[in-house]
Amino acid sequence: MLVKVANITEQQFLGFYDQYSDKLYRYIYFRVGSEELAQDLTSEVFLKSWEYVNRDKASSNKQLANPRAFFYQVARNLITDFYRQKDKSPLSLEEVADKVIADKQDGPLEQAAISLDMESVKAALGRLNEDYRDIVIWRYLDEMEIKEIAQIMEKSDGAVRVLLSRALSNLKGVLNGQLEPQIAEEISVQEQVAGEEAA
Amino acid sequence: MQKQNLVLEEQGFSEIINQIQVLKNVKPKESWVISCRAKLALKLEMEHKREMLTKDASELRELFTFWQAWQPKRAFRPAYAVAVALAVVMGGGALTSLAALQSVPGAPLYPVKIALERTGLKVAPTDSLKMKMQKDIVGSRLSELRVLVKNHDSAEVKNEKVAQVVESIHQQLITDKEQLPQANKPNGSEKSLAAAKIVSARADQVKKAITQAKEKLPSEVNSNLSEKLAEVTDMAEKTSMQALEMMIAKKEQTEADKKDILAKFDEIIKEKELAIKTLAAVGQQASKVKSSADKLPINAVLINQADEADDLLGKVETSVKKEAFGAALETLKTLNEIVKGAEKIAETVKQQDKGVIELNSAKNATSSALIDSSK
Repeated sequence: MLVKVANITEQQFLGFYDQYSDKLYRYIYFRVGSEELAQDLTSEVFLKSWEYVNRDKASSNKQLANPRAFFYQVARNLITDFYRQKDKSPLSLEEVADKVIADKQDGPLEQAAISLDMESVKAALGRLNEDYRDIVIWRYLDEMEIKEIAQIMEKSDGAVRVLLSRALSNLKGVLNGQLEPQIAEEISVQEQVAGEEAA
Repeated sequence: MQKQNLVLEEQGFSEIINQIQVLKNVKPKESWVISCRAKLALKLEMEHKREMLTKDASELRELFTFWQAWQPKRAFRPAYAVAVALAVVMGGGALTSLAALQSVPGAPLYPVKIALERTGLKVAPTDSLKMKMQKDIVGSRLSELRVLVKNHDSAEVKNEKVAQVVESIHQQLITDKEQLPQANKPNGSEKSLAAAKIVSARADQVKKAITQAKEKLPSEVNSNLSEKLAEVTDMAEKTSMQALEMMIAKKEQTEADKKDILAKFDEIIKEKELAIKTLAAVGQQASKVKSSADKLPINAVLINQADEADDLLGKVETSVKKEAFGAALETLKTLNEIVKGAEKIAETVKQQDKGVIELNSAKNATSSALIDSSK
């Protein structure tokens, strides 16, 4: 969906809010582990996005190929900025889960009534690095296409497929107790993609 | 090829993927979603106003330049500038609120309007002021309903917006109904009666508005909305009856009280007369439409019920004339149940007749086409 930024009206923008706020909140919540913080950051996503849309509106020929991907990019950047400012390392989902369950008995995770099996999946997801975790959330919770994820992560489609494949393998490995948690793994994605293409 | 590989790979991880997807249940609180949206809408609107203010300011500068050229020695120019700037700024804020008050569901400022109403109710210092505000809120919902019914939105959008307003009206009626017994305190009989009258008037207002809206809404009204409209009408009727019961139950009724009760009964009797005539007409009309034989008993039931309701209405009128208001109310309750049941049957009959008439029209059109083609 190609949308000319200059043509986005207030009404349309609020329509985007109605469409995407729940999912954005969920993504941010899984990244930061606090309801209040997730609320603040989600709100910030839309305010920042509107600033971008509104800036130089009259003379702008900017176009949004995918508004959803744009919002997620903004969210990702805000989360990074948040941790940078607070001088914190990002929380794992395990820490997120523990924090929320300890702080609030009736928080969103409690409301979802997650089973014991789910606890282990959540913990395993939390052991993945940020890219893996993001990609799993976007693909299987937010139901995004590879192309869209590639746009958010500013990588090629091939690179994203490789990442996703590795994320799933890692997740399975962690669940089965075969792999050590790889929190700070660096992957040479281009090498992976090149290898794949050569094959 | 890569896509296919990924699909196959994902199939291998289907169990994990299914488990992950349970996390979809994590959602933000609805109250936060609404308030965040309202703040966003307000910010968007204020920025829009700021843009207009910037334009106004540049026009003001031109005005000052003109003024300066015309009256170069005027000493009160700075005071004038401050006064005008204040007027524009204050006007901007007031205009936003005013714009919000005119909005309907779907408009950016509608959440602001709702937020303003809720705040007003919370800070209302007295019960009577609160009741007045509630009356205004219901009035506002009914205005929105009228606007929405007239709008040229698509049927789907119209259904959604109307449903939102109708639900709000429903909630207000529930609040009214719940407040009625509390208002009936032994020491505050005048107050409770006044409250009952306000609630009764409001319920009648709602009933009329919903009936008018039902007539004007397009035929593609979805079944959920139809049910909701019926539910709200029913609630309005019950609230009205409960309020009337309170009015009748009051000890030591003054002449003014009796006058109010008589006026209320008069209104109800006229309304029921019309309803019964409509039912009888539907029954008569339906029996004229050629249809399958098994429909005739339904029409007969409908006509019988209309007759029975008519008899009961006569008894209500007699009781009211004798000022036996309690007895009149009891008979009225029975009458209401019969009319409600008959109206449901009438609706079914109307739908079936519509189908038969359309079928007959289609048959006639086909027959005419066949005759024309054979010539």
